[in-house]
Amino acid sequence: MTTPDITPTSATGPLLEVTDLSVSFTAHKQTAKVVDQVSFSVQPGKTLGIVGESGSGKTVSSLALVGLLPRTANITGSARFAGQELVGMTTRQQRQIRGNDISVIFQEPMTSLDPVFTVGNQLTGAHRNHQGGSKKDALDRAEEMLRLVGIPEPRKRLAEYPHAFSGGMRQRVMIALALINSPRLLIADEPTTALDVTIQSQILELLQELQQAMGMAILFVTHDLGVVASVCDDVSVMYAGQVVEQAGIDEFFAHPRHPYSEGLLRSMPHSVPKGERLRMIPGTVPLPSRFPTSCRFAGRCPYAQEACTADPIPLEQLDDGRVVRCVRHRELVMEARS
Amino acid sequence: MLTFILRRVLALIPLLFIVSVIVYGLILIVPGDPAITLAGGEEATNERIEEVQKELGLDRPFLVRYGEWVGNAAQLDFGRSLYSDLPITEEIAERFPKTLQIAGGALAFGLLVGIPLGIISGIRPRSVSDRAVVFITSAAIAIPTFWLALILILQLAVYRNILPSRGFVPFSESPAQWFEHMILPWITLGTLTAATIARQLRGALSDTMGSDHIRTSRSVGLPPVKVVGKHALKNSSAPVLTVVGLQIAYLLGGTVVVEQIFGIAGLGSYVLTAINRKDFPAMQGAVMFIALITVVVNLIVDISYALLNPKVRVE
Ligand code: SF4
Repeated sequence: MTTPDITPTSATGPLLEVTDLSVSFTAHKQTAKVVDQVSFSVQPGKTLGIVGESGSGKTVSSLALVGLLPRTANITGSARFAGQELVGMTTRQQRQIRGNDISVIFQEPMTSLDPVFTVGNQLTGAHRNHQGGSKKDALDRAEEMLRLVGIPEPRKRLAEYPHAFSGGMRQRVMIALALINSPRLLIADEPTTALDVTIQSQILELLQELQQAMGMAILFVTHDLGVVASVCDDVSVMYAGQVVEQAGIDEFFAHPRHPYSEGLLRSMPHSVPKGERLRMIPGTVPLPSRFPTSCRFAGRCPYAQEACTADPIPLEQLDDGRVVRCVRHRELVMEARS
Repeated sequence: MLTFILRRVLALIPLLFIVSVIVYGLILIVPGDPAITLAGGEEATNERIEEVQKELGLDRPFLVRYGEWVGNAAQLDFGRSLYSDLPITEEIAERFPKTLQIAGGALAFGLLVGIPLGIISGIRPRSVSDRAVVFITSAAIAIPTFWLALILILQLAVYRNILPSRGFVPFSESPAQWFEHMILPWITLGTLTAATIARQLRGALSDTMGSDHIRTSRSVGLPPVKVVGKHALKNSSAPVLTVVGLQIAYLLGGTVVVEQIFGIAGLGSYVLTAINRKDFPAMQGAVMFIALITVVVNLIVDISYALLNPKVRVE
């Protein structure tokens, strides 16, 4: 390689920079803003975790980047990927990026592969869609990918259908499918949630190995802070369609700044000393149509005061580079362990 | 795969046996004695009737007659027509090709119209085009065949003289005329098939389009042609195949009406004539033959199922 294919942004700045991304859906003449002015960035080769409960908008904001939302979705804001604006792209442009520069793996390994085509057919289809080339080359590449994701006897297994693979193995195939064109960004949407605990950690390890080998960045969408702790470099916490806190992984786990983050941390099984009860955050995320205009977490926040329910809470950039959306973050002293 | 096919073929034997009993047993429930008709109807003398009965072998016990018939039928020998005294197999062989042309063309029409309509509505449920397809297919399903035939004949043959209203011209004689004469029978018979296929495909396809693996296909950047044409269609094909199998039985049966309307001497009108004339051997032979064809078609459908769905093959 004489001329490395690196655009200025990816050499110096973030690979993906999302600014004020909003997603709304209109149904029955009612508009629900599911994602509200979300900003985050992913550095080349690094992993950003997007954390939140279901209903936080984390999956919607990540799928919006690659045009995988239903066509009723209205997306505004900006998402620059390697110098290219993703928001407002034509579907044809999106298709060129999807599976090529940006790939996605999903939560449900059991149903995410097409049951009526062989694994080899699906892998070669994805490869040739972007790279062209002969069937034979694509098969060789598919075999290489299966070997890379740790599937024994890859050549033989290419001829098999998904039902011949276990859940963990299917997720490996799914990873092979996503990475076959060596993308620069992998969006991993709860990739281990549906798996057994032991298989979960195997898949996480595999993803980290592959990241080292192939150098892609990962946008890791999850509700599980344990997963975040083991694979992410940075974390972005979402609540009710908004980002409420952003930090490097070590600072975040040492000192969360937002009451919601603290709540999430305290509900992690191994964060609680033996004998003490796990503390789940009471209540649930409000529906998009009921999002308060002030602090959206106020209804569940143990520190809520009158000031919290007056005006919209701005996202504040702190001196140490962290970002928090809470009026009381200066006075509150929080720790992961209580 | 081979054992799968073999097992399906073996399973047909008891099925065909039951069908043969029913078909042959029809004699017992149909009113009227063919011997009386053949002997000259109302005025026939008792001696003459008995004579005819002996000639036809009707004096022997039912089970003996059935055994003999089934034995011959297994070799595709259905005996001779009481009316023309020709071998029934020969008569079927002469008439069946016409029926096959009507039914085959109607099926082709059904697929050619039904599949595109099913795709249009299935890939975007509740869209304007989907609603239009649902409306049209509902109407097509509700229209009785004979009424549709009458409207088509009036509009295209009588008022406008675009197409001939009845008759049959062999393909070997004039392909153009053959086609002209077949269009109305095809549309008449194939409309319900098209609507049924469209409906089935719509349902299957709209389910498939919402599935996780279609999202995966989109996520690797495949163009819609591949996502729908390759992945979604193959995943939606099983239920469509089922209705196609059922529709073939309907089409073969439906030719009775269509042949009558368009004056085509196919197998359907043969059965009808045989019934009117109380020509039992002809009736039994033709019905058994149609049953056989239907069973074979369903076998083919079963096998294609297995080809389409890897899981069926394993089980
Ligand atoms: S603004 Fe108030 S209610 Fe909202 S998180 Fe901060 S302390 Fe809790």
